[in-house]
Amino acid sequence: MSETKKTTIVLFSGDYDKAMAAYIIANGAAAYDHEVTIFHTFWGLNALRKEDQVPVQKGFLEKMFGKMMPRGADKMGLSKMNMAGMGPKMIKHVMKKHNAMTLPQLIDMAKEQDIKLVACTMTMDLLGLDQTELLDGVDYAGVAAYLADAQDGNVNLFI
Amino acid sequence: MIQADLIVDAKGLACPMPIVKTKKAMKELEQGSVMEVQATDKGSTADIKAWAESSGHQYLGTTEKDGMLAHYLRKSDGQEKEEMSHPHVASNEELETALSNRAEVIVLDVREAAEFAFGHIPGAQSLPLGEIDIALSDLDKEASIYVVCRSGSRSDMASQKLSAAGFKDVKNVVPGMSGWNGPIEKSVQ
Repeated sequence: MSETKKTTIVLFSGDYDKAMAAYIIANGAAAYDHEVTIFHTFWGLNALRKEDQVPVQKGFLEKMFGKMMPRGADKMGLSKMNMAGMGPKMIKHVMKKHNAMTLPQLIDMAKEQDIKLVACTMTMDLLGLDQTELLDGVDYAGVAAYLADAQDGNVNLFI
Repeated sequence: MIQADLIVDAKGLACPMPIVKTKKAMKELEQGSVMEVQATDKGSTADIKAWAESSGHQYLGTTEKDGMLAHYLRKSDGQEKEEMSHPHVASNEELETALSNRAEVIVLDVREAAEFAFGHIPGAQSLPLGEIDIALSDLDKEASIYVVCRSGSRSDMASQKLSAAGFKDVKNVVPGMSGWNGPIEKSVQ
């Protein structure tokens, strides 16, 4: 086979459905033997948050951000028809019926397939997220590291 | 049923799982062996086909029964060796002419059973390369035999085996099924 191809995805959105699409494409690309990077920035960082609260010293605003944002992939809302949390419950029920993988399962699968999960450190500072609050096995980088992967990427997506 | 060396169960799983499972299982499969992927996801046919083409594996075909799809793939690194050393070679056209003249020939297809099932020359006998040693005694040593595979590489090895076993008239058909324009018969729907 020819040299490895690369897929890079910027996950900007913190919506459950959009993150799901990103992770499905990422897992598919990994099955295609692509080298895959998902660069999480802004609200997309929430997909990488641990479910449990991690005690970290923070300022008042950062604390508020931390409380208001979903803690972990499973808590994220939908981009459409969220209906104050009813939407995600309903879609998870439907997904179970159709045997589709949930977002946390897709993230585990991504790790298993050696997909590089990158958290943007600049937006982590803005939102007041600490490395200890994010999942293990996540890489930390800035825009230059993302571009290094993306510039010779074959598939680049912004979700 | 079509014979496969490995069966992957992806029934009931949604995209992208069939392809992820196929990729994982492909690592464990030996070169040249056949895999059956069972799935119920309707999109999996197009997915598996595209994936196989891009990763260099050979997509043989898909059967459908009661809503269950069975995809057949043959593992390949995409570069089968081109050297051939059997001295007697026939082109596809020569074999086609021989068959249309109703000549008394045996067409021996040495590809895997699954490859044979998804398209072969009418009247050809299926004898996968791996089973050739067992079946040699059933064949007539005086007969005119045309050995065919996909690219001419496996049939070259088979032709050498037949000649060494004392068969008089063995021709390797080059390139074989990959360039075959004559009639095709399928054993599956």
